[in-house]
Amino acid sequence: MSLLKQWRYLLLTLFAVSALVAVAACGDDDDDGAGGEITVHTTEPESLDPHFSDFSVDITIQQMVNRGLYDILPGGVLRPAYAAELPTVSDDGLTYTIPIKDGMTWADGETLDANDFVFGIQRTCDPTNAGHYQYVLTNISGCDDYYGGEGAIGDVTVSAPDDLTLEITISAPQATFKSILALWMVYPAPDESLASVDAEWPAPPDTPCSGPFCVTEWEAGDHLTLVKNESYGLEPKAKLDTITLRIIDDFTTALQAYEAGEVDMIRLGTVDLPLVRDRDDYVPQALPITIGLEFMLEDDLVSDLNVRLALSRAIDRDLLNEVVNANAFIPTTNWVPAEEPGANAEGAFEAVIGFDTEAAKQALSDAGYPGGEGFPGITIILRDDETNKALGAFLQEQYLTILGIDLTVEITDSQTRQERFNSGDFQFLVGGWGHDYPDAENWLVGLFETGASINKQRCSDPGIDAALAEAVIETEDAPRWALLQEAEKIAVETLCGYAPLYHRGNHYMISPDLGGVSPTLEDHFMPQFPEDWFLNS
Amino acid sequence: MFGYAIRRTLWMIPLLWAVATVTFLLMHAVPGGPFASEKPVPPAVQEALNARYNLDKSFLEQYVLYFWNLLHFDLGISFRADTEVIDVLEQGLPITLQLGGFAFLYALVLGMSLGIIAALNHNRVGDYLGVFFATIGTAVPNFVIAPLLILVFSVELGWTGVLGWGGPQAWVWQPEFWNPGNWSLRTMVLPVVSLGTLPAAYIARITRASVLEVLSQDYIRTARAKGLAERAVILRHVVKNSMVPILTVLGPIFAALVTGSFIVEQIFAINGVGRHFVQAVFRRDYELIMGITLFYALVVATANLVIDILYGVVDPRIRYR
Repeated sequence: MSLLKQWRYLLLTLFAVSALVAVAACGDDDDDGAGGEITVHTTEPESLDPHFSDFSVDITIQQMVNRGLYDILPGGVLRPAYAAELPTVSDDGLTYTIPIKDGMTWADGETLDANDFVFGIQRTCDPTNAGHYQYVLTNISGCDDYYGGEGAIGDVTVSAPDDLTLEITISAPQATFKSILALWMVYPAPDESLASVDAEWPAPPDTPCSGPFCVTEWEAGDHLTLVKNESYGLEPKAKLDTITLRIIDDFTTALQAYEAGEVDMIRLGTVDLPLVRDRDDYVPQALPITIGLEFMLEDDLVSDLNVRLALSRAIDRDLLNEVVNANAFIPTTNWVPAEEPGANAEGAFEAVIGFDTEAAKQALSDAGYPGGEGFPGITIILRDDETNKALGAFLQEQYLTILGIDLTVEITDSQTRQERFNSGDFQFLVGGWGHDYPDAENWLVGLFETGASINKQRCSDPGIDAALAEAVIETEDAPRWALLQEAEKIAVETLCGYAPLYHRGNHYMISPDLGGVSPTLEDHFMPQFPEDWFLNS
Repeated sequence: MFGYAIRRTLWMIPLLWAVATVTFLLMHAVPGGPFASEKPVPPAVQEALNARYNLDKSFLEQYVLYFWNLLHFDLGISFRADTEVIDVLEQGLPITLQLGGFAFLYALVLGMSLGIIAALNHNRVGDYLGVFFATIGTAVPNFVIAPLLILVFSVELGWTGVLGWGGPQAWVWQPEFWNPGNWSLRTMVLPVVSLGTLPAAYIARITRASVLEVLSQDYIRTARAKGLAERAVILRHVVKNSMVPILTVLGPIFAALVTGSFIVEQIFAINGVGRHFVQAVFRRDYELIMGITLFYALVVATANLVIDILYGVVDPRIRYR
């Protein structure tokens, strides 16, 4: 057979393939962005139940399809949502009375009133639901006992004296309780359609909906569909008809889909930042999230403050942010972001724990390991992703160069890391905190007191304990914040569990066709208040 | 032949049992559980969660219980989704099988074509081009090919899609499968090419080597000497007698395409079984891991059985007892 004849068959095959591609290219495709419909990037949520979740993706979606008593605006300002006005607090600071707006309904037409908020709080306190954020409601009398299986639902001091009045009684005065009333664990639950307080939160399309959008479909691994809630009683109403939340695990794929016009708004990974930083559709957003080293203070080596100081002071945080995070975040030595009410000023602790090679070497020498001699080696646990691998390599280089010590980097998956973290089986790792409500209290209470529920690092300092014990019962902001600042000062300067490295933020690509997207104030996957979004074209 | 097929099918049972046992052991040896959380959960709540999914039982009890349920075709419940494992598989399998199937066809057609042409043009331009493609295709992994294809054809040219799979979530016996409106070639092309290029290159190399060997046989010289048209020599004698070595690799290739698609599924955000498998491992979703592993083992075993049977069809000299 001649070469031409042989190649004729291949050429025919190639022509056929090309024709298929050309036909495919001309084929119809999704019509994103037309007629009030947009597609937004998300990763897979775990649950749509607001009384269960602690996952930021879940909370993002729950705030699109639910509203509670209040919204938190910039500066910590509370805006009434289903509450008619701000709560009235009794003279002893223990009873909160919240009027509910009249005439409100769920998307299915069922009346939305104070009884639904009672039901919602009871769901968060219910042990069957196992709400991960139940501890935030610890000050509501009876909630802890009920959650722990020792009390009854009737012991939870939340009630509706009438359909438009919600009454909550707390154990001790709490200056920040009003902010807690704006959080998702206090969202309403439909008491008429849910069989019981421990009933499962219905899946789409029957998912209870009190927000500007309702989730009508959840195809696991692919997408969620949100449609405008025509029964939404609050203002403003949603402008878009439909939001498709496209589940894309890989952030680079999300960027490529955005570039191809298949998605209107995405979250960016730090690895892609250098490609888009100069573009008009790139939107950075600083967040109240701090990432740092977390020390297990019961470890023989790390329990020495001088060792911790050496490890903290040997890190050039500016260089780390440049090399590891592509200048995406804000280097810091503060635990509580300076913008938070009650926080210390930025840089307040730089001189004590910040980058200083000589001070780092001196600290290591004071610990008994001059020049790293005799240092037994130390291990850091990092979650398996590209940024953490780069971070591990960076820290290894810094510690070897500056301190002369070997750092072993243990890369693990998320569940293994969580298991080791919960059981205290680590020397140090990288983790952090993002606020639930804007106040320094949320950064310290529950994290630093001796034996506190989230104090996995086993920090125990009488000065911190005393300051926080006094702060939680102080109702005036000025003295309360002074106590919190004192507690933070001790916690940071003694590296009592944490050595802050940087404040993390989110980075978005937002299509020029999409307007009304306001900065995200919270650690959400996507910006808040989708009722403000609209299409320019 | 029939008896051989039956015996091989029956051997799958202990094979699947062994795979399941090893997986069960490994899964429970790995640290971390499905309900680990940073937020505090009271012991009573943790106990209730464990009891709900039988995690409070001993290792042996869980093992026996799992296989007892398996005998009743109950693959258990996915912890995270709180749905039946069989439902999760039913959702992802059609897509994974479609992707693997189309990639297999692409690899087979392209690989064999290039291999035959390369062999027929031994040490000439056609051969060099075929070997070049085979080398590139083997050396460049699919997680490099995929983003490059996306960049060129989706982002720059806008010819193809990025996200998802362009086929319906339906089995071949369902009417939705045969509705042309449910298919989008624009979205199918890149995942298929990304997944199928490496096996295509491999098939090309095997085909080339096998065809070259057959071409040197006396019966081919005899056929030509008798005046048989070259096309007939190639199609009737060369290709058919070259198939045995090619068949040997087709089974594992098909199994690998179906079971190894998770990287492509991740890159193109395709909601297939591979993606579920990766997430199940990270989340310690034990029963979903077991269900998907058993499925993969079944695919590999079945593919090998089919290939072994096809040997007898292609080469009548091969007979099984």
